[in-house]
Amino acid sequence: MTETSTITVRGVARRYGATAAVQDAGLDLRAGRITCLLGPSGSGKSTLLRLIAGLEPVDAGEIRAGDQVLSAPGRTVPPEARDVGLVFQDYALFPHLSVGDNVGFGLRGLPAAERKARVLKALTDVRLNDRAKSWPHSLSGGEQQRVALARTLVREPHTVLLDEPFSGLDAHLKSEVREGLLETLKAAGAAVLLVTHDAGEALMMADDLVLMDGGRVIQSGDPQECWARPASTAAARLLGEVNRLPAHVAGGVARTPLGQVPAPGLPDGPAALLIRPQYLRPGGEGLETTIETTRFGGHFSEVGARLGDDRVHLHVPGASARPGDVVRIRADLSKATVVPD
Amino acid sequence: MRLIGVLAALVAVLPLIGVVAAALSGATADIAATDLTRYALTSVALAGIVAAVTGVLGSIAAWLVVMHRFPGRGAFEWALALPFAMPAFAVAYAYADLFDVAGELNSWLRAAAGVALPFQMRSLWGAGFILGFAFFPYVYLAMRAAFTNLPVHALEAARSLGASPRRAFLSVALPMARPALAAGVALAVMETLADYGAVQFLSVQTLTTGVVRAWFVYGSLASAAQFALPLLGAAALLLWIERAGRRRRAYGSPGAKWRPLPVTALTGSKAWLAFAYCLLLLTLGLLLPAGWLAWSSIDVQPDWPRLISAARNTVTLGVGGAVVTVALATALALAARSLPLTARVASIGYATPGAVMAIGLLLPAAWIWSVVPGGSANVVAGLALLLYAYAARLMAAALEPVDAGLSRVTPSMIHAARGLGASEGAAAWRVQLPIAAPALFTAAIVVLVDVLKELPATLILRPFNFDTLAVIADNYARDERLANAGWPSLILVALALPPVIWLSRKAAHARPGSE
Amino acid sequence: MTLRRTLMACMAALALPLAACGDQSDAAKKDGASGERVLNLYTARHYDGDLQVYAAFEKATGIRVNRIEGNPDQLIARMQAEGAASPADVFITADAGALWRAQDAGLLQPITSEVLTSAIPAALREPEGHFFGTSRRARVVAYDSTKVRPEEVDTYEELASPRFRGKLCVRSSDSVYNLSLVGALLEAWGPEKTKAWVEGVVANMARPPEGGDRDQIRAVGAGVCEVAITNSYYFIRMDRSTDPADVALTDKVKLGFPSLNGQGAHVNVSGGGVARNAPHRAEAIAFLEFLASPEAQVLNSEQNNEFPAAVGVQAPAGVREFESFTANPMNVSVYGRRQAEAQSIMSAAGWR
Repeated sequence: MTETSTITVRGVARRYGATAAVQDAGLDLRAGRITCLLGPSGSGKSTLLRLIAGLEPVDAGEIRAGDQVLSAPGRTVPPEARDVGLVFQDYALFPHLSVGDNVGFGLRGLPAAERKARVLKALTDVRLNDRAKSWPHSLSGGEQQRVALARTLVREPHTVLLDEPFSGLDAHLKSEVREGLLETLKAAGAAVLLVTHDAGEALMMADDLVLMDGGRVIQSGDPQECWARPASTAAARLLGEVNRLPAHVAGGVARTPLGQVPAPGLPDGPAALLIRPQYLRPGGEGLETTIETTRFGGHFSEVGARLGDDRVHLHVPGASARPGDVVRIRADLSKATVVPD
Repeated sequence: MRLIGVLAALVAVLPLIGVVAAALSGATADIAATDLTRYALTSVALAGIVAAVTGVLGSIAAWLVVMHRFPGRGAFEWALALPFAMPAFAVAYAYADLFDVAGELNSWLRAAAGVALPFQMRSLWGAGFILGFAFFPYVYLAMRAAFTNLPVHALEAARSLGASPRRAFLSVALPMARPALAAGVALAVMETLADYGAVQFLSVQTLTTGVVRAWFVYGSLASAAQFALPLLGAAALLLWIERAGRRRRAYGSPGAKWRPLPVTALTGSKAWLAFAYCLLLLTLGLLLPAGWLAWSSIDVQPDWPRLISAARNTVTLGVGGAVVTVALATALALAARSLPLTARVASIGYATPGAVMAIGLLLPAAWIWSVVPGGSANVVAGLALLLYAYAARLMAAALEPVDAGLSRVTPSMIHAARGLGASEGAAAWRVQLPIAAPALFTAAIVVLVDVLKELPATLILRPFNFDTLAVIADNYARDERLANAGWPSLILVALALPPVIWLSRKAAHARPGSE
Repeated sequence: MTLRRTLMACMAALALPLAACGDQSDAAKKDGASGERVLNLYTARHYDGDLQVYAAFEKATGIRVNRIEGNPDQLIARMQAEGAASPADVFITADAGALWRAQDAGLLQPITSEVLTSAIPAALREPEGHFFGTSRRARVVAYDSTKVRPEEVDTYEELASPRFRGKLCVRSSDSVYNLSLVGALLEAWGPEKTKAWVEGVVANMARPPEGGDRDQIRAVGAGVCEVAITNSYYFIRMDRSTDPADVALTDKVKLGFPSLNGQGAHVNVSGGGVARNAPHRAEAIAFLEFLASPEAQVLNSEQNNEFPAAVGVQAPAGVREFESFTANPMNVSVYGRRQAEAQSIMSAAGWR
């Protein structure tokens, strides 16, 4: 953490009546980096985004931009004074304003000529310079998103928040739109927080990843690290399929059905071993398993197999595996993690 | 289906054909052009005043009630629609009497302070004030719905783009509600043009005066109908505005998640100011005129048997008119999916001045009277004719909710029903109507309230020995016995209040996502 | 709400009006079948007292009265639309001009009735028997007795004189009573003088015309004007009232009877005629004759403060005190004929 954060969130909480939507949440957003906030629906990720945007007050904790306190209990800098841009899931374009006027909405107070120039540049950046006079409803979903983005970026905010930016788009559009969005955001150089519930999307886009569940941040850091070394079962499952096997820790070493794994710092007693299916491979001198189910998935098959009393998932190349086959598997235990039970 | 729709439209359009037919026949009257210009200008000015008064009053009330919290807000939310239960003519009686130069208030003021109020209700501005307060609920209800359904994201987006709450309201919320504002104001102006009792009572001379003079004093039905044509044109224009407004109300993003509106809690003097504003609207629109009528009639011994029988007639006509009108409107709306023009034309009756409608209604009436045994002495035919007149006059009022209800049925639902073996009629019966049933009920209530207050068609077409409360009130008012006119008016308000309360409360709680 | 329940509600609602009116349609059917005699009345009078007159008629003759009330113009339009099938027997209205309009539209038939011609003075009925005036009202003035001497308002000309500049209250020219008055002036004076008179009245108006006759009288009481043109019965109603405001008002405001060409005050009538296609012609004549009877004359005068029209019938106490004025002998059937001309002159002069 050598760079200074653009936005710092510490110990933030937000309650709705008896329900805690967000508790003790913390994260850092840095200029030029994309932070993805991943969580299942109801995990509090959208609420956290609204707290950072200033659309709601915090009940505890603090949100700062540099030295300036943006949110603290009893004190909320209003959204219009935060210099934080927000792109909504539904884009929230103003239907009564043309595309150009939508983009120019946040540029009040500038001389007309400058304003016009900046609108045109912002629209050029998202390749919509010929649509300034169009009405929002005449644009496609992807174009509407680009207008929403241009409308936010034209104000050159230090931070941009995006709420589920791809959920309204058709699958075949997503990758194309994603590339364009990444490019534009990188070029803008702002700190970006992108909220999503799609693990693949988060892993692909994130410079920094924040995982949320049940209103709490359960892990944050480098995407690959999070993927390979989840901090908990919940964190592991958020990013994709994972095998969870019983383990028993004694003296910093965990005994598991796959063998012994170092578990530094864990107390003695029951624990769990987490390992992704990709790191279980058939072949050689490994452990004996019986295949129970197979599902063909292109260049590999997803296989469910019995290992003693436990059930594991693994990826087997091709379509060779058949239920009832006995297969030996090897685990890459360097990619396994032991977490408290 | 298509045939039924065309028939329903024809039923509604017949009176208008009657007006046009009358305009093309017979000798024209020699009415001075300057008088006509004056009438037309007065009509335009009155419509303008009513549009401004209802637009401002209704919008502010809706904005306060939807976006703020202050004492009494929960009650005002539905109570502000209650002036809708008060017939415009009754409001006119009350205010004209209350503020008359020689009325009790001014007499007392003169005696006590030696001054009189510097304004008069029997004037263009007075009529604008009275009709404005009688009709502002149209704008209030439309704007309340618009603000309630406002996509909250749009407001939040505006804030995050640097707009203050005030600017977010002015430059986002208000423009997005503009179609609703246009629709509400159009309804209020239509009612103003169609008004019969109030404007005449206040001796404001509008184009309707011209129609009546041409028809009766000069005995030229043709001239009367010719003066009516511009009014019909205005009616058609207003309907078009209202329709266009409704189409653009489909604004917003279907994918958006519904969120409760950001409600500002008002405190201190602001809260009391909001309270006072809402109370003032309610007072001037309902409590003061109704109270004054009650106060003036307190010494009058009402003729109960006559009033009760009139009340029974009024309710019977109201229910019958509601059923017939909604049935026709439904047939029309079902057919209008393929025939949009018929629906629009059939709605013109709503904005047609009462006196003009009377001309037009006599054409189908004459035909019915000539074929049924006993002519207009035939009570059943007479009542049927009245119900028909209500349908022709109030089609637009029913068409809007019915249309909205039917639009909840997506084409794919009908296709699914057809795919499961239902005929077109069966699909309408088993899928469209049940889904639209709540909307049909709402439409029926709207028409019911309008029929209760209806005057011109009832006055001219009703069968023998058949009075409604509005007719009795009008009789007394013409005879300049306002104290006597108070009772039927008040009973009318009492009858209209429950359905209006029901309507208003229902609409107040209808929010997307809260169903 | 389910569809079925909605539909059932609809059925019930449709059945209601028919059930509610069952008794009335029964009554209509009896006409002819059971021998009950009926009379269909189209009346533009809508005074509560009239109902008592109808009741008295039913009691005296056994003829049942069906009535439709409306304003005269609407009733005329309705009768026109009904054409030959019209059930109307008698058309009643409170203005001779409106009666003439009905006659002019061909809606009335002339009748001969010894009873009517002997009871109703010739001036108060249409010469050919199309309609008969059955009660009289004078269109005269209410004046502020503290500011106006009676002899200042004893001619119609004086109302247009500069003496009352800005001091006259009168209702709109939409009022058929005003049209009939100006029609009578046209008959008496011709167009030139009438035009000058109308212009003088407009110049004298204390305020643009508004409200009804009663409002004009109250305006005199409130000091808005010194003199108002009104029908006599409005004033007499106030004069007989026990309401303290009315008592105070009539202490100050008095009724004056201007004279037209020295022949007396302009008198209008309330009356009726037999409809062109009356299905019950005999009953219709009987009804008009009943209206001319002393019983109905006194009852009506008592209830509505109009003056009796029939020869030799004296108004009841309260109205009688005002009855001694001289009535202009002009035939009431001329007013209507002059109405369109009257309207044009009034409009041109700016009488709203």
